Amino acid sequence: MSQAEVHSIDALRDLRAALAVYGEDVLAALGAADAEIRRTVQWLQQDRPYFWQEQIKRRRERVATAKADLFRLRLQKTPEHHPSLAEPKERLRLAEAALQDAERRLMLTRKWQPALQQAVIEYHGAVQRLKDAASADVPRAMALLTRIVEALEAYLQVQPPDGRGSGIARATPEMESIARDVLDREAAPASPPAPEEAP
Amino acid sequence: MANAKVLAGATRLKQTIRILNDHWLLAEESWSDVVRRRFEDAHLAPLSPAVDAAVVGMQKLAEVLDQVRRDCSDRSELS
Repeated sequence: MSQAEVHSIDALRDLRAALAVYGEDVLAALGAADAEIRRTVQWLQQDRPYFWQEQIKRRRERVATAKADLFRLRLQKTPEHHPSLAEPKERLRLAEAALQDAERRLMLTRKWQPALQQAVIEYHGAVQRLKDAASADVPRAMALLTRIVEALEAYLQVQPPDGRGSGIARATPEMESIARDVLDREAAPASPPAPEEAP
Repeated sequence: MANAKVLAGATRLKQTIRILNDHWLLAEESWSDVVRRRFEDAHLAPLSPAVDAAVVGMQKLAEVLDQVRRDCSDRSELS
């Protein structure tokens, strides 16, 4: 027989508690990331196209105004009167640059919509294993530890540890067998239901 | 700068797996047997690679989310 040793039931209880915290932390971290994804997707698909189309409209108007101002100043030019064109030219340059920036950002908004969806798909692929672990494997491991602890506690009810105090249980071959039985039952495939007998 | 909330989640994942591993090491001291190895192989060993993959995925996602914000925001919105 192998020398199995379950030294401390308390250590198993602590491990079960740590698993519970781990599962909660994982789900919280993944939930926060999902919330950020939803927020950004909604912003990109619903807010940004409207925002940049409006900006383009406004900035076109500013360009038109700046052009009109410059045109008017040029008309005012006479041999005696030389109004400075530097400032209105600079205003026109800035207005055109702002319009180009808005047009570029509307294009980027459209470009990012499918690209973000693809990035989200890749992200979900990367976290799927962890999500499965936190939602199914970790609770299963906790349930298994619970069954082992309960089985060992039940055993110690009838077979107290020899002078070692409560909560601390040194492994005995019986305890090894109990823990292994629980693991064996967990590992065994579920047996199919027995066919109903014909009346 | 990458999306801070997603990066914070990745950091949390790294911390929580480290804490779980510390607890496992403590349990290991008093539970070192065939049963321990079976439990570890079936339930604990798969967690670290899953966390590593998720952390990489979250870091990439954080970069993408930040790039989207920078590309599609007005300069005045970012300041």
